Amino acid sequence: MARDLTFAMIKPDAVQQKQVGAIITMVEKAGFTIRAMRLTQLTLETAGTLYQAHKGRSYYELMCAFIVSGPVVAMVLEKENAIVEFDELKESTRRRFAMSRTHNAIHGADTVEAAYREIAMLFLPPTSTNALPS
Amino acid sequence: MAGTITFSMIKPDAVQKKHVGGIISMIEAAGFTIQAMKHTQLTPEAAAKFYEVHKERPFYKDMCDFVASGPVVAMVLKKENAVADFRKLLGATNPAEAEEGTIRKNFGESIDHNAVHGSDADETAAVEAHFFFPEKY
Repeated sequence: MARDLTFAMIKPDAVQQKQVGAIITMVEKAGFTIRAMRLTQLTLETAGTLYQAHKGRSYYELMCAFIVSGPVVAMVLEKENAIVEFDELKESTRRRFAMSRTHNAIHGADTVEAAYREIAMLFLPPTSTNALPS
Repeated sequence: MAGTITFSMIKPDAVQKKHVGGIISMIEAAGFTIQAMKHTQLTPEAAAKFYEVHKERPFYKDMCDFVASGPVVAMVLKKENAVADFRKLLGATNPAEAEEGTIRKNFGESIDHNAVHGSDADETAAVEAHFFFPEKY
């Protein structure tokens, strides 16, 4: 089961350039099912957790500053072998939409552990932008 | 003066058929900015409340059952003259009568399964935005 879910995020550059629809179209056409999705803006703290593997690198601060600079679209996607499959889709999405190494349109979890950590971070506990309406 | 936000919801038929990206592309291309968005599923109770204004209509129950039948994508969209411009982009309620270039022409299946909801007035937009995003609107 675990291998069938991944976490993905449309980054601020692509949201700002109005490429959300085009990227979701690629995700849907590649056979993924959207299990959860919301537009949100990350805090620096969340950015630190997301990019913990890059801490200490020269580009770390820039990476965090960029990801909190505007709204993002966070998603939980389902497909068999999701992490590996999304990695391929991430590459083709970047070839089409990335403007630079930092402004590269899309994030995808690179391991099952990362996917679960990122899903928990963005979708638990419920907030106004992910709770069910009542 | 016309308001600058409207509420929109991609309905279960279009989500299930994987038209979310295609519909959002049309919304973005028409100049709307997505201010809030979430993928969610309505309970039958929430659906009944959302469509409360139609309570006396014969199609009320079917409408509620349908909208609660699967996930939806709820959005608050921003643009000058948002409500009227979005209704123009949506096209006629019955996809068979919708003009070329409209969302319902491209993605609607029938009058009951017409892919996307759009608020019909500024006041409704405010109520619907609050219904889905109570902390923000």
